[in-house]
Amino acid sequence: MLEIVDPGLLATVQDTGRPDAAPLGVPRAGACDPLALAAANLLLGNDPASPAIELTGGLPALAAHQDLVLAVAGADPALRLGDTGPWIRPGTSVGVRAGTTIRATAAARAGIRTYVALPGGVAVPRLLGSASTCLPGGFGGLEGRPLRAGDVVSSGDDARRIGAGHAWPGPGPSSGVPGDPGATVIRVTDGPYRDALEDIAAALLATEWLVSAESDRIGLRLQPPAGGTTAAHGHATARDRSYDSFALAWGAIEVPPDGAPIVLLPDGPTVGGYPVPLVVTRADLPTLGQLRPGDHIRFHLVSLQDARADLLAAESALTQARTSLTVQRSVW
Amino acid sequence: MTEIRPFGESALQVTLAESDDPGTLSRVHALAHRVEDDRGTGALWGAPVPGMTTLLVPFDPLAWTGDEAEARLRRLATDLAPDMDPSPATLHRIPVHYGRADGPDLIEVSERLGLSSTQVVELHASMCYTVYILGFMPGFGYLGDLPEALRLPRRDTPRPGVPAGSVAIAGRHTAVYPSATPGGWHLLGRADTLPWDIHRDPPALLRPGDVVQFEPVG
Repeated sequence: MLEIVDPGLLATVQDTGRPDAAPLGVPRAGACDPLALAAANLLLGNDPASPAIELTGGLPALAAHQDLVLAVAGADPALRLGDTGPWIRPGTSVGVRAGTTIRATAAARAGIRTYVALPGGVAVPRLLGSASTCLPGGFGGLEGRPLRAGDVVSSGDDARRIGAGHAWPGPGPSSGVPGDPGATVIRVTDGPYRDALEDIAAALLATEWLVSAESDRIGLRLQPPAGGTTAAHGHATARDRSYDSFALAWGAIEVPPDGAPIVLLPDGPTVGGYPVPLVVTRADLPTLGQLRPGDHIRFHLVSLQDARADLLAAESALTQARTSLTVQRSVW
Repeated sequence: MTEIRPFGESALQVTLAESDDPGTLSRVHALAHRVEDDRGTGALWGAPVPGMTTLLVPFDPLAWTGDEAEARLRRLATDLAPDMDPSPATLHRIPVHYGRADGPDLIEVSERLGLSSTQVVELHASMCYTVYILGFMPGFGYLGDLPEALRLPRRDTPRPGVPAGSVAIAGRHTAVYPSATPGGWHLLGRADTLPWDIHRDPPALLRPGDVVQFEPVG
């Protein structure tokens, strides 16, 4: 019912991933910005973890083959209903008439991932407990691959009468999308090798990093700004520090021997041997998932207790938004 | 000596040994089973993920503080004995086409090890390898240990594309690549059996604790 006319740079079907499959070597996959995924889903009354289309930059275009309702959240690529129709702002649900093409008309000013949700979720088979596309494994989502021009996706629930025109009451509507120019602050907390790697941790925290063009759903590859030093600069012992393969997780910051950090995203490998001094807090994973090549990052260290408090606050804000939206939708 | 360290605010890493100790992996998997059993009773752990000497144990920080999670995990880690895995190990005999186009690194590896290609193949195929852990990619099993005579560090430059089924060595491990991927291990041959097939039940051919023997063919 919804055709991919142009996938943009990358479009995949993602839900909240399959973390239980990690012992099989399977990356968890799932939305890089889970808050935007939740917002888009909740706008339609879906389970917040339902599969949606994750658009990643470029100028994607989607065409409705029948009258439908969809919701959008995350980065704002100036989506337009038809050539002259109204703009679709992230954080809203809209009715779309059969034959209408929704087109991104400009690169987002901030953020990179936009989620398009359909009633009942995008209908694809579930494998290993999830509908997410595992790009490294070539399975899941739609045939285990990026969406391409000509693909048509269906919603899980065509028949439901969904009201359109709802607005996300926050946090967001672009949820994790950083609003300010300049460096994005990402909160981090202790990783397993923090004590042994104080010098590397200090270098990570002291540097303003640049997100390189080599970044993808596996991880953000960071560079020092021109003329700057890497996390291993002056610390030759970083090259000696490899560890017996240990399990990794989304948000872990790996420091390979060349000192250029990799911040793992949902498609990252399940085990590795590079030192991990610090881990991005769960509360900041949505913000992390909206960073793109050319963005600047500063890491800010918080205690484990504060990281937990931040997560509690984020969950509470999400619950409030969900409740408020439920009331809004029930008024229709 | 059991050390528990934070892995962010939502997971703990348990170290079961600081050095290479034959019983370590058994204890890693034994603790993983205990955590899974505890999960079965409703405890809010995520799926535990084994490493070579460690176990990553996610938990729900909205339900427990880090201290509560650590205390519970420490109790589970008490009196771990190796060989607590109740399920029987499977022996996998995997036919391999060694050398030539299937094993582009065989000749160079032999030269660096001071052996003939035939000796390398015979030595590689003579051993029974244990599946230590799965990781790196779906179904990729770290097998070991390689005999000392076959040990080399990884390639300086990884290949951008290693063919699916490639049988490879690096350090103390050998492995079968489940699918085409960049890879930095030395390729000795290619197996027809793929360790990962999403449409197979179960999709992963190898389980930790299984035993693998390679058989030269062709």
